[in-house]
Amino acid sequence: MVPDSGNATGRLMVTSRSRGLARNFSCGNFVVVCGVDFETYDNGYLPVNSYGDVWAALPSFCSAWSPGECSGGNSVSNGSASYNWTIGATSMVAPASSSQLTVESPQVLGVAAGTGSGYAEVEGGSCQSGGSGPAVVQIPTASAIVSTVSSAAASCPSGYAGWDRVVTKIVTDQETPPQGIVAAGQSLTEVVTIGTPNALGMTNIATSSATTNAAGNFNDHFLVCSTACPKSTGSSVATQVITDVYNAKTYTLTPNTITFKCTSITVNGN
Amino acid sequence: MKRDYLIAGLFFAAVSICTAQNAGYENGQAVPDSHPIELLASEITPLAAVLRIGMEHRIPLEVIMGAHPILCGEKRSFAIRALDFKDALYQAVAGTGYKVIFESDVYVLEPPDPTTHETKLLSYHFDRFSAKNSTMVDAGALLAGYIATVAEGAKGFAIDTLSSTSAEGINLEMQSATPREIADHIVTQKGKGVWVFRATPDVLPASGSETSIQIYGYKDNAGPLANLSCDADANGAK
Repeated sequence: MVPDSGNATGRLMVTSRSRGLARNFSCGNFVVVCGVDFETYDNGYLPVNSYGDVWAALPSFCSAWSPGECSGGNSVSNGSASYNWTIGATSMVAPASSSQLTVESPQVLGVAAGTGSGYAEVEGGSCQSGGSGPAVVQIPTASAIVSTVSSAAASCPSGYAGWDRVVTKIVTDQETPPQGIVAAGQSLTEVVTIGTPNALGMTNIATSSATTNAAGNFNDHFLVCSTACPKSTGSSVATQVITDVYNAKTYTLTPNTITFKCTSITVNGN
Repeated sequence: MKRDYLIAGLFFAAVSICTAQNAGYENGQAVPDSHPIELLASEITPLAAVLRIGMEHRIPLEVIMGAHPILCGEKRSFAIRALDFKDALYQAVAGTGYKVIFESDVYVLEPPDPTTHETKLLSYHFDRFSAKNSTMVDAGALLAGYIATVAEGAKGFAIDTLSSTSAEGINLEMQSATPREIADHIVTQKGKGVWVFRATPDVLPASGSETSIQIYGYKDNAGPLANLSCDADANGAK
């Protein structure tokens, strides 16, 4: 027994000599929600027309002497909690189904380009805790170079010379600055049109198609061969328009300007 | 026990003889071992049937379209059952006038009406051809450029090819080779592929925008192959 008032831990034993009785009692113990670790995955980016779990509300649990005693307890590893999600701007991001509003990490759908948000209230042992995070629904808008795989003199027919460059690219979104869309299965095709100047006398550009990998990347291979090379310092310019088909919707990306020279090939100056 | 071994030995010998008979020779080359080939399809063109067989069995293919590419003619139903690739391809092109030949490890679909220009272009000799760390499509685009510049006297050409980051890379270095030899060599690499040579007029249009040859790998270009048509423009060639 603790003579002074205050909290204590231990075991209480009640004895009755006259009845020949001895009983012991343990103090009761409750587990309450005492905090939430709110996580936003991939900075909240979600490609349009795709499903994903953008956020997770991960509750912390503490022991308590009574329900509603929401702080001051010792941390415990397990407990039970209920979840209640509120998603803002459902015109941009919406739950995959109403049942997703009561789970730890809800599946949501990117409805339209823009920014939405998710707020989670987590309750356990009559204690509530919450957190919120953004969701940015991305729409394929343009493409950008991620890295250069190779850049060297091209292997051309006899009497011709030129340049050969392979780059890894990613489709980017509508944000400022543009962010990459990390999504596999984007089906890309292109149309390339020769413009002016055309100092290298290009009359033919072969094109092809590709599909993005899990990181959203694809390769773009440029090559030029000309009788004007290697001497010429002039350039030939072409416009590349990439079409991205993703989740059965077609997006025409912002055109790129490709500049072919005898010793370099650049895309939008890069 | 000895009797069991004897029966097993006879069975093995019989199977070996059958396999050897099916292997056969053509143009002095061993035709690959036979495989039962089946294709049941409705409402597809002969070209689509050929490509399905090629894709499913990873057969290196060469398709010369000819002046009137009837491979893309009327759609029909196919119920192909064949013991070897050549027979399967014959059944796919039945009634079109195309011949099926096995040459340089490649099954060739030869048109009844090759243009003079096609024949000339395909037999042109390039001093060298080199494609390093290229996909099959890249190598095909480069070869199309070689044809456009060297054989047709164009001043320059460019290629711009998209590919998946996991696309198969090939390395080629050939000396004194024709476009046909180069393309055949490309489609026998790695996961194999198909090359298509489209009818080109004897005189090219001023824009010079036609891409005569296109090469597709079965592993990396299943999508474009499934939609391949006889019309160059319909395949995105510019």
